[in-house]
Amino acid sequence: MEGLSHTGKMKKIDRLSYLPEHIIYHILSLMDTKDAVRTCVLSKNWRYSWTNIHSLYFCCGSFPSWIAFQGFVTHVLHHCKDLNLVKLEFYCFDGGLDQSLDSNAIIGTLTSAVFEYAISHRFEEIETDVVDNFPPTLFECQALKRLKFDQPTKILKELTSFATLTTLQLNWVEIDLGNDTLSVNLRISDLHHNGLIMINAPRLKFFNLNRTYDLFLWMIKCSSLEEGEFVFYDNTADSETIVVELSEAMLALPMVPGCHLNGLRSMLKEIVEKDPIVSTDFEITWLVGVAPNF
Amino acid sequence: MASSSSSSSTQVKKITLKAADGKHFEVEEPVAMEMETVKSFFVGNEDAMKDMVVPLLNVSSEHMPAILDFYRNHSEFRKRTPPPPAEEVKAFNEAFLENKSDEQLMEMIMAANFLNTKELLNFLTEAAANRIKNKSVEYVRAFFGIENDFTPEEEARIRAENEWAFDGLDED
Repeated sequence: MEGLSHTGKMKKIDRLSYLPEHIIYHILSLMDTKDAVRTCVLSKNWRYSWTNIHSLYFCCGSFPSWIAFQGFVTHVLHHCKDLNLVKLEFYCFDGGLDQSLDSNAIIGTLTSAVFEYAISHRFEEIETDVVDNFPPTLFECQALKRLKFDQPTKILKELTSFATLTTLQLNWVEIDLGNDTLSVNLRISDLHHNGLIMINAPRLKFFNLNRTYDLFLWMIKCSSLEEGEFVFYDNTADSETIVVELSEAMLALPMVPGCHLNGLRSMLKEIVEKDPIVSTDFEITWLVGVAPNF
Repeated sequence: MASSSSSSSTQVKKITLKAADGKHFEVEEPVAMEMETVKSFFVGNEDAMKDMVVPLLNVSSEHMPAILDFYRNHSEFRKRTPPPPAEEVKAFNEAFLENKSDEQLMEMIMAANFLNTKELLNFLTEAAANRIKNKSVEYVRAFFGIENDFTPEEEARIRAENEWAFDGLDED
């Protein structure tokens, strides 16, 4: 190996110590927080570097017990410098640890602590599989821009008053939005929902519905909608749903402002009745410019 | 499509950049302007354009072609309608990092930081983070070429202070 000695290239250099601190902190912020904290033993220079991270990634799956997870999260929240938080990822149901009554209590306590920390540090993005026990102030958080929920068993009801949110992403979350007003880009995937979703969102610009089951989607007053994307599961339910008629179909609908999706439904039905075998990448692009009231 | 009126390909302004080791690179103006450092060089000095050679003190010529290639491709991705499929961008990014050693990656991060281009810097720092995720302390030390200046006692104490981060970990 020594034969490789291309002049002094073999000399040991702390390459990252050449980097400005803000870049080191940024790299640490992109990692699982457990990995970031472990850099404290790299060298004396690195001992407290991790306390400058701007994002937190807590995932119970990389811990041997709930006690360890709780201990870690508490340690981090206690020692991190008082900086604004860019992003929080918080996963408690990722299959790493068994769920029990005790674990539910720990998750509840941690959720409050983590969210209170995040809110007071003006976090901008969150991804989580925890869908309850939020502090009520979450919904008043004025810095939040992106919210992603991943949790197969919970029903989400509250989605009000997110003035600054630009993207909402829901995976495996049932939603019951009622008439909540959304002003976001809405992405919904793997939705387990039988029935009606009503979306009344005058400022909604982008809507993505990915792999859902039976659903009657009613988009009313979505006058800012510029683009909708819909990917459906194969299914056989009654004709009230657009899903049935467009089994496995993928639509890219560049819609005109004021276009009502419930109005499009009858048109889509007609197409499918003519040709019941809908191709898997069925694309409707001719809806551009269609008048809203047909 | 034909409406891109003034794109007469004969008249693309070029800017000359000089790498740390003195090598010159002729770069189309819009590509050069992706770099905030180059852009600010001309602020309030617009007429100086074209003729001036912009010195890039911290960028070695070894990395210039790759970096310029990144700007060219990514600015094309941004402009394209409809936007390019995610796979295409991913394929380009992966090819970009292929065969780059850890040391080259670090040097490019420093270059991107100096050139002050957020997109490239974000991309490279993300790549660095990915290379060390889920790795043992020893691996990360070797990756960065860090000399451990702790005594074994000190190291043990710091591990104990942060015990939860080391819990349940198989050191390899």
